[in-house]
Amino acid sequence: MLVGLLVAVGLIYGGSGSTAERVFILFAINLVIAVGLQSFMGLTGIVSFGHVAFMAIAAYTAGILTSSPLIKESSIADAPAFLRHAELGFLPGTVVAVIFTCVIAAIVGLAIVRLSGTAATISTYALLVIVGVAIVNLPTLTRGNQTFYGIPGSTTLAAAIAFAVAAVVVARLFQDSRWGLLLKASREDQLSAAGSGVDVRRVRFGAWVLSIAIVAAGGSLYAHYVGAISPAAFSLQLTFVIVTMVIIGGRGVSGAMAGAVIVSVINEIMRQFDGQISFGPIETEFASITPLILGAIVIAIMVRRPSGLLGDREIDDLIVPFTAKIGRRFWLAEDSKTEG
Amino acid sequence: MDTTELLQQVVNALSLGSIYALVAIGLGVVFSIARMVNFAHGELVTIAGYTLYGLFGRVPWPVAIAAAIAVSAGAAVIMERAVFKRVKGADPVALLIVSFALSLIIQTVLLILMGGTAKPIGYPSWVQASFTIGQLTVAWRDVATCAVTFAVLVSLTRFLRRSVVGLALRASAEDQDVARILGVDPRRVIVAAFAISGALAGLAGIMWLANSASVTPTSGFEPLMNGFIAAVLGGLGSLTGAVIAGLGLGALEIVLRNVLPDSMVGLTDGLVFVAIILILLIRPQGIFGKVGREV
Repeated sequence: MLVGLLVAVGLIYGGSGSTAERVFILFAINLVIAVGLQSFMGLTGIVSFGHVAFMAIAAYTAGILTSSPLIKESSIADAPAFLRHAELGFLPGTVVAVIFTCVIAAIVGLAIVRLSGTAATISTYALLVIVGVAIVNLPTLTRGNQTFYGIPGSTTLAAAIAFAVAAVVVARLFQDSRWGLLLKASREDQLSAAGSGVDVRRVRFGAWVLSIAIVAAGGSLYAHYVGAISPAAFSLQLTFVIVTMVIIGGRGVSGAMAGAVIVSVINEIMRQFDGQISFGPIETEFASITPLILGAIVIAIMVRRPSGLLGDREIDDLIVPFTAKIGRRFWLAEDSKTEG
Repeated sequence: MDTTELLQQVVNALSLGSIYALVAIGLGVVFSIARMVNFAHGELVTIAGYTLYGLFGRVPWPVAIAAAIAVSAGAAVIMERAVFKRVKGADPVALLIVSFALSLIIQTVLLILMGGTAKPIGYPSWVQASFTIGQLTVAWRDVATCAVTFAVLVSLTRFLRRSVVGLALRASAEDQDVARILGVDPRRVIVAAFAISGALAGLAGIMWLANSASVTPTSGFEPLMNGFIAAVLGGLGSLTGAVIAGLGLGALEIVLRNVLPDSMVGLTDGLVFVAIILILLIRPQGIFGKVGREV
């Protein structure tokens, strides 16, 4: 089953030229975040506006740990000494960042899993705001509103692909596991699931922490690609883009992938049209219409297929019957000719 | 802080809280009837603002204000007819997302049509003027805000209690199916609900924007967020809850603004949201909300 998914991921990353490479890396980063978010949203049915907050926490943590002490002497001169002198490699830094983020996520998660529906969604939005405020109000560590620069650009195409594949594998394993099954049951009918003995809070907690672990990895990946981060990057706008990917694509991991592809493609297309468009007296940059297009698509999807394009299905569910059909046609042609 | 300053802040809090309460009530009305949280509610505020921008100075100001309210009410109805109606019956989460997407669309459209720079709104001069009682300086706009909100609340309550439409609304909010059996037309009720929420949003917008006297495509975001918080905390289906929470939120904001040192101003938001999470944990349906309502 997983093979089908991995092949799809692998095939996509065929080419690379320098501009194509940039697009692919960004796509891979978005994919990791989207898959992470989907691991929570798809399985619990709760919309989370807060995952980007944890992406931010991980990005800052990893960034602080991996940047060179020389830079930190001037950029965050008042930070505790062990942070200023630290210079971890990309992977160790990421691991530490992920663990740290997960600890915070676990603490917060204890509260979040007690809520359902709109209350949960509002609380996740609250997290986004709180983390944003925290980042701005800890300038000794984060340079507050200003850009935190000097993060080594360790994110190569290979690294991005590796992270993306890992994220997809982890997410898929989780969803297909017993844990995932219990979650899907509680998503469909919370009361019945609880009645059948599912500890809804516990399974949600697991999904929460795991999804944030994935998102955290993505955050570190992001930080090491752009090299400079600021609180503005982890905004409601970004949250909307990621949430859109998950919603458009559907509730499975393949859905998140499909959503990421579609949204990235749209973004790129909108950027290519460099110039302005005009409706009579009105002129504007083409690219700024993107939210409108994304919004319209989201509404269209919600009206027609509320479960997203792929719904609960994964790529293998689609490919296997497809190849089987082709196989049958090919091998049994003789028989069907004599039949008909 | 001496008494005058204290009174000053009380007036500020009342004024701010009234605006939040109006937005909260608007959201609550739609939630009670249509079972959805309308994220695009903020855009109604912005639309009212642009209407004022276009009309102030060209028509007498009462006309401009009435027009702005009418336009917001109309816009809300259009939102319902054009978009929300097609997603009927879907779970509240889907509706929330749709309204969120809609709000982004409207913001982008406004950005395209009006540009991103702030447009000045020419409020009549008495709005920005103030008068003094002893050592206390009170701005007329704050007085107007409190007075108008109070009047609106009173008339809204009477309307809901005494009129036929009000009765139909309350019945549908209580139990839509039974109301339908008893002859209440659900379509009319929903349109009425959206129209009322639009009018309230327009009114809130007029008063909110009086502070900055300008409007941008994203002007509606802040009142929406605050009104939304107040609505959730107070209980989405409850009028009293929305008012109390709105006023409480306004008070909290003013208190924090005065208590915290300037460097920590952003912290206000953070603390408010922490409080939200805590309250939601203890009472997910809001302080005055009824248990069992799917929030």
